[in-house]
Amino acid sequence: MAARTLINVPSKAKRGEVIQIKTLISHIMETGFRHDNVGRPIPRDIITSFVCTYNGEEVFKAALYQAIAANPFITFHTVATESGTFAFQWSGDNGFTQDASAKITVE
Amino acid sequence: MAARTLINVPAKAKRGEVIQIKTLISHIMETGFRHDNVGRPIPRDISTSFVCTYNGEEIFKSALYQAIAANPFFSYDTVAMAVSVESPMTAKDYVKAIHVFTEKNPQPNIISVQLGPRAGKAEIQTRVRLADTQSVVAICELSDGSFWSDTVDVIITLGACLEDLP
Repeated sequence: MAARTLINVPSKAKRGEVIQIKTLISHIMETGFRHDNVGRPIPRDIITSFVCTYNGEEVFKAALYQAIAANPFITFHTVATESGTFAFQWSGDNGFTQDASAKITVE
Repeated sequence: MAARTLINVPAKAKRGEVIQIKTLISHIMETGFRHDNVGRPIPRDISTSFVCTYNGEEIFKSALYQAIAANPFFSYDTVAMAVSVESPMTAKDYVKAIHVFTEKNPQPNIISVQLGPRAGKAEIQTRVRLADTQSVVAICELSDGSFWSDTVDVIITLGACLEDLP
């Protein structure tokens, strides 16, 4: 199932500048602790991992758990070193993976 | 089926002090008055009795009926959370990882992030689910191998009529 993603990366930055990256992905983040209206447990379905690479090099990685709210929103920082591409990948239960990318121009 | 419980008893008290005990158990409290989507009655499945003993002596007992609400425990509150660590974030001195934990959620981990000198700034934000008023603990690991932690108390007010909708 394709999830919607929303990525916020500055399109331009000065070399060496610390930039903030904001990411959001639509995902139910079902904890596995709940039951449906006839008492059957609802199976866990969460995103367990988030990785950001900058021109192929990993710059941020997070392990997510049930305590992360639905539609996980994560912000972090990195140093703008060179023009190029940020690649984002989320992965989780039931073989879930979702990719996204964003370009940046470094002057 | 084992049910999850959440018990809140003060860890310390003065002799003679009146203490409040809060308990919560995960249970559907099916009334037996409802029907499923093809009209068959859903059998009653409720917790009918609750007993608390103190050093073996019964101090509280309660009979429960269908009108007792299902556990509100899983009606989490969503809370915006930011964690930042003061660090120069240079190749020699940087934050390697930040781990965040809860004390009372059914599962203790919230998030673990791996950072490096390329992060520039050790600051993350996300939105977390908290099941109850509790402490949230952040532990950060620095490049020199030391660990630092900080704790924040978060007050969660749960609405009385929240239902556990699928």
